[in-house]
Amino acid sequence: MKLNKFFSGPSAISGEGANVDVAPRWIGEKAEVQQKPHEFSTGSGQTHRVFIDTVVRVDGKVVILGWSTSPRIELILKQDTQSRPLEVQRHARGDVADALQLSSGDNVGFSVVADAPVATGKLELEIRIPGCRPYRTGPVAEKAALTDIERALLPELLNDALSKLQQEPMGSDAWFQLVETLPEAKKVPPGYHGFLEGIFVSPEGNGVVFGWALHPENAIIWLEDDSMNIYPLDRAFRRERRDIASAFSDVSWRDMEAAFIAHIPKMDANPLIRLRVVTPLGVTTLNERAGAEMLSPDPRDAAEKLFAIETEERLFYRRAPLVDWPILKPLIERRQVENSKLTPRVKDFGKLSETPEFSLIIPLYKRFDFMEHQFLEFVREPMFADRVELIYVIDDANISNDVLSESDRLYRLFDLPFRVVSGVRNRGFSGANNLGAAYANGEHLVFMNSDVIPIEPGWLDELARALDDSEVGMVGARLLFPDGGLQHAGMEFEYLDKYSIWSNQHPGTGLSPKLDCNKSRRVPAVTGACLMIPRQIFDEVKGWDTGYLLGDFEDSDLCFAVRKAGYGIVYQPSAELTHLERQSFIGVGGDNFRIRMTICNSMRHQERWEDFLSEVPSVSLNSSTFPMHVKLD
Amino acid sequence: MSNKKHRILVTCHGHPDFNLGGGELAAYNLYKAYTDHPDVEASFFLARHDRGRGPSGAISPRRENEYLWEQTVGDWFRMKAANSDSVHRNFADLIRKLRPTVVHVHHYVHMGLEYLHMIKRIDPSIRIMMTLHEYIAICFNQGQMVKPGSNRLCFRESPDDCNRCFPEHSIEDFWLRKHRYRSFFRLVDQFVAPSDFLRQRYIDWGIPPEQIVTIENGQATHDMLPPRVLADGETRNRFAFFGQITPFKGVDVLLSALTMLKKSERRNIVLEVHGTNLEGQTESFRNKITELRAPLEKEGVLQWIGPYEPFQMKSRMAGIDWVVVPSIWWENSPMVIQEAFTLGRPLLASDIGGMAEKITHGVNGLHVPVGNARAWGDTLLRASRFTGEWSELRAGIARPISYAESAEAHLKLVC
Repeated sequence: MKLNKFFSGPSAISGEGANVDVAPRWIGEKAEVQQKPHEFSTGSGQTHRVFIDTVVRVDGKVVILGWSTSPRIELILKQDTQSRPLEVQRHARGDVADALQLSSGDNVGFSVVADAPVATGKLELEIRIPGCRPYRTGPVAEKAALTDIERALLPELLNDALSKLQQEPMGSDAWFQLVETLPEAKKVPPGYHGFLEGIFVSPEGNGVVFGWALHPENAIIWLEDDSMNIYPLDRAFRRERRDIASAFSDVSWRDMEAAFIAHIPKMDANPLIRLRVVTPLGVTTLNERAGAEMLSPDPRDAAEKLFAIETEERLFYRRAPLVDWPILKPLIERRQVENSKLTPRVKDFGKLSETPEFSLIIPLYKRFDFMEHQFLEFVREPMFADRVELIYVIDDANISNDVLSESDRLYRLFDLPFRVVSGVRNRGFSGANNLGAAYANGEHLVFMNSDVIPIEPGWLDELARALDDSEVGMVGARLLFPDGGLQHAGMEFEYLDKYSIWSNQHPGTGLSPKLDCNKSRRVPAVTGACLMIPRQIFDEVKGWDTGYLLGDFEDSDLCFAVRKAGYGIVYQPSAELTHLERQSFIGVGGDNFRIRMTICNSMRHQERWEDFLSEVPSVSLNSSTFPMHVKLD
Repeated sequence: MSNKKHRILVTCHGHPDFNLGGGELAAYNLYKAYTDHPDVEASFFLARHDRGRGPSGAISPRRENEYLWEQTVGDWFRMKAANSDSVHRNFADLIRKLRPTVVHVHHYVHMGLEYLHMIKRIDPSIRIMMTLHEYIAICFNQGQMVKPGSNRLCFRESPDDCNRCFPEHSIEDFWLRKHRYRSFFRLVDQFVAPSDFLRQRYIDWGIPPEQIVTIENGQATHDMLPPRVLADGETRNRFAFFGQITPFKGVDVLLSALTMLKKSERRNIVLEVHGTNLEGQTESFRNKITELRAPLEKEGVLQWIGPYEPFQMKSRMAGIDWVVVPSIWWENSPMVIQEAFTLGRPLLASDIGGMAEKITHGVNGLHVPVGNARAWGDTLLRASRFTGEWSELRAGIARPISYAESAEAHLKLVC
């Protein structure tokens, strides 16, 4: 039987509505008590009636349903020579009370669920009512199966199925078979609630369903689409919902992690998603939702939508690998493939050096007014045009025209040759840097942020000097805030308990550079805001990793790749530049977006470089050991 | 003795044919003095001009050796030329054809800073001399170094300080603004400050002390005017304000001072206001002045005389005893002080900045606590009763340097 057919059965428990269950077929001749009520008389002249509705052997159990006007009734199962008393459960039978004009139907019905002694062979019952003569029914007829209504009266019938279900991996064949044996619950038992708040579908064919569900901790609960694909909720990201807890104050498990955000590996553009759960009354749909919001193929836009699904920052590290990365990774990869097919536009202003020592690569995103400030410093550098191939990479289509006209103005004013590479669309910090590198001919590549501005000429030679040591693979500069305080003197890594992530830290931030030792030195990593790397090593590590979302961690990633290739990373304090750091990020989302992006990226970062991150750095910049150079007069 | 023949181009933000500001006049008079100097082969004057059709970038002749440049500034925060093409076309052509050995820059406002770079690009041997007229590079509040709104005096710039005055511009923006000014100013070989006070403010800002000297603006050479003839028993009670009426110039302080005096006290005082440009001020400021004016004019204490041409200065000063300079900003070297000295009139002036520097208290004038209307009233009252003391102060005036002397001092810097 197809599961959907099974689940699509009618829902009626009270007798009203059309129960169109096909009546199971009977096996054998009905006993008399199965045809009309048997009357029991007591010595005091009272009469009790008993009727057997159903006898079924199913899943190794024998199930008996019937009713009795006597509140006390004993049943004894007879098979062959064996004889076994049965445990009788009572339930209400309003229908019987109506027909017999009883004052109440409470406890009129009875049910028995007992292990069946053997699978085949005739069954016989002995019915005992106190004060009456016991009655033997003779062989009873059995039904082939229980109707759903009958099953709903027998929650304990599901106990075995439930515990077996819990053994099976959700969605496996065995699990499906077990679920198929369960009836559709005609009503949702108390304490089971759920709501699907939203569905996002990705152009990559996966999606996210989010909402909340209240259920016992070990409940079997899943999301299911209209093709019967099953997504267990225990694989979803869960978090507490205080509003749900207070709305359902009578539910004992109200403090559970009710909210869920589930990644659905395969989703139609227009899905129908049901939230399904197995209850003691059977399987039921807590909520369903049709249709989904299509995510943008742009990873940044998609991330903005995803990150807006509420999750505390401190829990985001758990969510990112379960929900966000499965959506974003294929989008980012698709984007990379598409970007590689785009033909960049290249425009040279003036004639660039054919044999440059350095290729200086500067991506432009949103703001480009810094260009003139860089030019004002570059023109002070002797032989800059002969030694340096200056490459600006437009990483923002919105500013493309403005950058080109500003470039024209700058070239005419300063007469300094440079190249402008337009990536057609935004590639992020890594992608833009790699694009610039693809058009670079220098022996050494220098990657610089657009808001980094040299202070005095000579900084390029200072950086290059650190690379004279062949064991050094990359060198970073000393960067100062506009107010003169240290912005970068090497990076190190710190585990942030608040977010449960490894973060890149800049020790000494804001201090006077006079407190920083002036000797170049090995450091765990350097910032990508201004660094120099020999072309050959850059190619060896295959350039900047483009798998992160926007800008974050690319610099430490590159540092680790260089270190993994066997080189050291050096910080060169004698190369000193100003970094208007806060300016770089003016354009990127709000604070909420940024912190979530950082957590997301850090999860990827630590998955790739856990060993490097957790090692005790050989040269620590930690505040206690930050190499202070304090003059004591 | 130098046998070099200089070719000097003087650049200015306006031509005195059209704008009679102190800076324009100083620049133009210096240009004329260069022309007359024996070491100078040729001198030229380039003034920014507005023909009411926007920054076309066109350069056109005004008269022989004098040109007008239709340029303006598109970004006042960073002082960027509105027409940048014109810098590398029209302006560059002008430099190539005129072949100056020295460009004496009297301003960059309305023209942008870029042309400094173009001069050096065309010929790095051209010496750039720049005269600083106010604190525009230091202060975004019209170069006044006075806090906007409160008009409190400002003693230092920094990105953080400036951001508090202009929260709409970030700290980084102010860093960039200064970076741009300093980068273009690096092309200047020699700075000239008309006052020591201004010189020090620019040294504090970052100009190396050895690169900036103080040279006072030159003045026309003529004899002092005779003292105003007094009637019997009359005292030196006629005061005059000359200049623009802006909130920074302190005319309102002066009028308040008179208002605060007793009627019997001010009866013997006459203040003449020879003012310009009130119509260009905010409505609230204009209203304030109008309200202060009316009762004083009715009493005859105040005579509102209005604008004047440079040639009228002599006749107007003939009829007064004192010149007043009540500015509430630092000033640099107000032209009116040198003119008053040239014509033999002692001054009352605020006790700060360029005013305190140029006027020596008790020698050639009196200092008054800046912005203090009560103190101004007391001083006006006291000075209005002077006769002999006035003569002593007049005797204390030293003759200001002439145009020719000023030109000579400048040329010594570029030998």
